[in-house]
Amino acid sequence: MNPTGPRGLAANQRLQKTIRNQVLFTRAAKMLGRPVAWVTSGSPVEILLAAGIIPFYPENHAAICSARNMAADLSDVAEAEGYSRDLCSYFRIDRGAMVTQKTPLGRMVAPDVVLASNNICGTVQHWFSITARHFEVPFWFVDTPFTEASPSESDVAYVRDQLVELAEQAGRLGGRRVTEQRLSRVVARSREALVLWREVLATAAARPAPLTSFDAFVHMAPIVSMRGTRRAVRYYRHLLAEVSARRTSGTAAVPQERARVVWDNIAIWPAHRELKRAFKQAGVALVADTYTHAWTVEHLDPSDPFTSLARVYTDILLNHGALHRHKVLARMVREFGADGFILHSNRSCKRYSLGQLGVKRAVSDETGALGVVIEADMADPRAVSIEHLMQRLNPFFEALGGGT
Amino acid sequence: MSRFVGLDIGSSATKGALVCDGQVLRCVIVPSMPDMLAAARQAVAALEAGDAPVLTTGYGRALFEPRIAQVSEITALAAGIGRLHPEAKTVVDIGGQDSKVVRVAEGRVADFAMNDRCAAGTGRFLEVMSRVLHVPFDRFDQVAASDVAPLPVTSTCTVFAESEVVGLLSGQAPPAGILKGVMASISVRIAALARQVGLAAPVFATGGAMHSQALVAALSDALGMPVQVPEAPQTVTARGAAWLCAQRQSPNRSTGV
Ligand code: SF4
Repeated sequence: MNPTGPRGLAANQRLQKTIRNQVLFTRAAKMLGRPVAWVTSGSPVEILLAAGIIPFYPENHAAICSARNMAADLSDVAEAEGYSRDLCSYFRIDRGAMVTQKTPLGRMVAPDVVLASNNICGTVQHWFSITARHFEVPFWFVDTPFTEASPSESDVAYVRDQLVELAEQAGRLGGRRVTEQRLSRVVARSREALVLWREVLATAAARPAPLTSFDAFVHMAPIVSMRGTRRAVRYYRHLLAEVSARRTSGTAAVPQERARVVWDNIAIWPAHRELKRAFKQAGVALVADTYTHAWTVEHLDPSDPFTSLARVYTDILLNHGALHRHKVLARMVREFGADGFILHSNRSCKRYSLGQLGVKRAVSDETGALGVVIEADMADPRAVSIEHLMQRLNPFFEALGGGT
Repeated sequence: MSRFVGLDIGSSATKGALVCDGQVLRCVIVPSMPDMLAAARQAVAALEAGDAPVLTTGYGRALFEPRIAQVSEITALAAGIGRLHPEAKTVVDIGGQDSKVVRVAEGRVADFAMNDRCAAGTGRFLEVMSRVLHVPFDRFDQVAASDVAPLPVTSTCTVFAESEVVGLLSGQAPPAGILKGVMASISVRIAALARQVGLAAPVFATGGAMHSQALVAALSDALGMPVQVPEAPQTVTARGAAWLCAQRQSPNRSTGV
C-alpha cells in the first residue's frame, strides 16, 4: 500500500493562480475607478457584475485568513472592541481585517458599497451594516423570506421586486444599465459554472471516489467568489476534465477506500489538513457534503433572469427548516452510497447547526446509516481541538469498518 | 498462540485482561497516575502474559508498545458487553474523564454519544463531590442508605455544583440528602446523553462507579428502566479489547471490527 496515495489534484495549482488573478484583477479594477462591493456569499452578485461592479467576499477572505493561521489574532481585535466570542468567527475575522487592514492577500480593497442578503443567516445583516458604517458607504440589502422548503410564488415575487430595484441602483453606481439582456448573459455564465461544479461533485459517487469533500471545500472557492465570470467557467472545465479522468482510470482520493461518509455544515478550516489525513489513514472517503452542494442550479434560467435569480437566492439550503435539511442529507447518503454521516456542530453558525440532533436521528432512521455529531468551529482555532474531534471520529470510523 | 491481552489505559485507572481460548484468565487494575506508560507496563507484568499479543484502548492507548492494534474505548466496550451479555442493547459507561452511551447490536456499535467536554456527568464529578462531602466512594451506598429525601443539586457545571454543595453544607443540610442529589444529578445528565442515541432495553452500565448500588438505582430512575451491571464492571472494556485482540489475530479473521 502506498501510504500517501496518489498525488493530490493538479488543479490545486491552477486554483492558487485563479485566486491570485482574481485578487489582482479586483485591485486593478478599483484603481481604474470601477466600484467594489463587499458582498455575502449568498448575494445576487450577477446583478452587480452586469452593472460593472466588482464583488469582494469577506466570508471567503475570512476562510483564507483561517487557513493561513491569522484567525485568532484578527478575532482578538474584534473581541477587544467588545464583540462577543459567541458571534460568527467569519464576522470577527473580517472585523479584525477591516480595522487592521491585515490580509494574506497583500492589501485590502475598500468597498464603495456593501450588499447582504439574509438568505444565509441574520448575522450578516448586522455584520454588513457595521461594515457599511465603518467605510461610510451605502448598505444594500435583499430580504429573502425563510421557508420550510421551497419558496412560494409570492415569496419569489417579493424578492424579484427587490432585485429589480437593486439593479437600478447598481446600474447607477456601476455606470452600466442592467438590462435583461446583460443580466441574462451573466446568469448564463453562472449557470454554466454551477452545472460544471455539480458534475465535478457527482464524480465522487464513483467507487473509489476520485475526489473527496476535502478537495471540494477548497475548490468551491471560484463558485462562491467568481460565479458569473468567464474565469469560473474556465476553471471548472479544467477541474471537471481532471476528476473525470481520475474516475475513468479508477484513481482513488483515498487509497483502500473502506467506508464512505457525507458531511453536514461548513468545513473546519483550522483542522482541515489533519482531518484530511486522518480520514485517509482510516480508509474513509468523505464523498459529499451539504456545504459544497448548497447551490440549486435547476432554477437558473437566462431567459427569465430576474425571476430565476429571485428563486435561486431564496431557495438556499440555509434559508430552509431542519426537515428540509434532513431530506437533503438523507438523499445525499443514498445517492453517494454512504455508510455514515457526520454533523459538524459549528459553534459559529447557529443557522446551520440548530436542530442537528433531530436531523441525526431522522437520517439514521431513514437510511440506516450511522451518524455522529462533532463539535468545532469553521474558523476559530481556539474552538477546535483535534484530539476532541478524533475522540468521536475514531469509534465512528471503526464502527463503519474503517480505522487503523 | 492462544493467549491475548487487552489493555484499557484510562485517565484514572489502567485495566488489563488476559484471555485464553476465549476465557478470561486474569484481570488487573492499576492506578494510571502519575505515569500512564508505567501503569500500562505494570498491568501487563501483573497479568503474567509473557509475550502474548496486546491490543490497547483508552486515552493512553497510543502510548504502549508493542501492540498489534489500538481501538477506541467505544469499540472495545461494545465488544466486551456483546460477549458477556449478547442480549444487551444499550451500554452506559461512566469513566474518569468522560461518559458514553453506546447502542450495541451483537457486539458492534450501532450508535453512540459521548460527553467529554465537561466534567459534569463523568466520574470526575463524583470525585469532586466525594471530596467536598468527605464521603469516600466506598461509603457512598452506606451514606445514601439513610431515608432522607434527596436534595436537588441543579447546577450542571461541576464547579458551580461544587459551590452549590458547599452552600448546602453550610446551611446544615444532611450530607446523605446531598449525596443522593448528586447521584440524581449525574444520572439525569447520562439520561440526556442516552436519549441522543435512542435508549433501548436491556440497558447495562459499566465503569468502576457502578460498584455503587445507590448510583445504579439513581441511574435506573433517571432512565426510567432497569439497569443491569455485569460482574466486574470496571474491566468490561479491557476484556472487550482482549477478545478483539484474539479475533484480529485469528487466522480466519472475519470482517473484523
Ligand atoms: S457562517 Fe453562518 S453565521 Fe456566519 S455568516 Fe455564514 S451563515 Fe452566517
